Amino acid sequence: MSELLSPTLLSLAVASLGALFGLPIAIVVGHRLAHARGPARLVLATIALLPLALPPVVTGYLLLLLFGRRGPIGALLDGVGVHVVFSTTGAVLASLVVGLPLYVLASRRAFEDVDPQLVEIARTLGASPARVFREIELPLARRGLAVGALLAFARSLGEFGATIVLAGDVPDRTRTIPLAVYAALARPGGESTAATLAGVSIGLSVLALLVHELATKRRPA
Amino acid sequence: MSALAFDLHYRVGSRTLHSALETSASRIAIVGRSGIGKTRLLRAILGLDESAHGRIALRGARLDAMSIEARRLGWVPQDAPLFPHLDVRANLAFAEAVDVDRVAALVGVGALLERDVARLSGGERQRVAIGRALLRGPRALVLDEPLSALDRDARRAVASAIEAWRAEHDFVVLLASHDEIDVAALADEVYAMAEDGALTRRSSPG
Repeated sequence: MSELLSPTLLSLAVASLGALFGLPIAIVVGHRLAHARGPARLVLATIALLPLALPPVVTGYLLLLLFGRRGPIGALLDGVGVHVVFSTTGAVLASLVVGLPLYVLASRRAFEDVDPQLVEIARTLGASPARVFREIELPLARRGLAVGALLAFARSLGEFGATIVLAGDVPDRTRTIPLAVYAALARPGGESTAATLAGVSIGLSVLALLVHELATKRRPA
Repeated sequence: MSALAFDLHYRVGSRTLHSALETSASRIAIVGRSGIGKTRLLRAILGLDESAHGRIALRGARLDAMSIEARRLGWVPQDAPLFPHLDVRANLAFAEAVDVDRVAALVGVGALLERDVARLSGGERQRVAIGRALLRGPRALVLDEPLSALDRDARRAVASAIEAWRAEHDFVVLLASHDEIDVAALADEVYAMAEDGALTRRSSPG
């Protein structure tokens, strides 16, 4: 049972945490992309969307270089007792990074859809840029941000390559559904487990995409 | 001391316009054909046009070096957009003013305070937008085609509401319009805008 339940719960937890921790990054980067111009936007867009084009295995490798114990960020985290490699933290990080491009694109679109005149009016009414962001832009973008979170969540459910490179395949810690399917298929007699997990995977994905479709349906004007 | 003086260069498409004005009147209208650049001039004064440069003085305060919010100008753009996620009361109160109920009654939306702004008519939206700008406690009320969505009686009512608030709070009214009824109701001095932005005083309003 735990052969099925553990990967399922872990997948849901990892995808949810990836969507949660990705939110502030998606907001900040999406907002910048919606407003920045010139070379700054090109550089930011390229970095933020890179995981969309890179093979996930390469993304995982880059994350390993950064977050491994000898990597520039990994060494710092190691000092405060946080280990990314072969841990659930690593699985969440891989999910987050691989899901980020879709998240950022949805966020950027959400901020671009805010009528710039509303921002200007708010400024003339005495609001600082920070207050305008908090009280006008963020509330008006929240629907688009929710869509981005769902897309990132759905992408995370299917994440394999970056996860296996960065976090490895550790039962109960990093073995999400895709890794469990792979492990079951590699094992003699594991086909029925693989088939059941594949069914769960299809069910979860369909559910996430249905919710996404319902959420993106535009309200009548 | 002049009420309003400015000397501004600003861009409209590929053209660079130059508009200058110095007046002691407190109720000023800019007229001219639609698309000539009246809105751009208002935006330059408001600090919303990054291409604009030059001097703006309003009752002795130099606005041109100030941030948008420090200029303290109450702006009512042409289609009077309201914050769609806030109700009428929250729209009016956005400038953190205390007189929301009084101004709402004055501009004729006192009964609509709890209403969702999506359920307002065009005229009601315009009244709310004007009330919201009045509640900024502005140095000047800057209006772009302000009463276009209102019928004749409503125009008179809103114009006299602006006057009543002005009698108490003494601000300048600056409007851009091609509607002679608006101009006659809201301005003492009228300036016609030429293609190059030049402003020429017209003899009398209306």
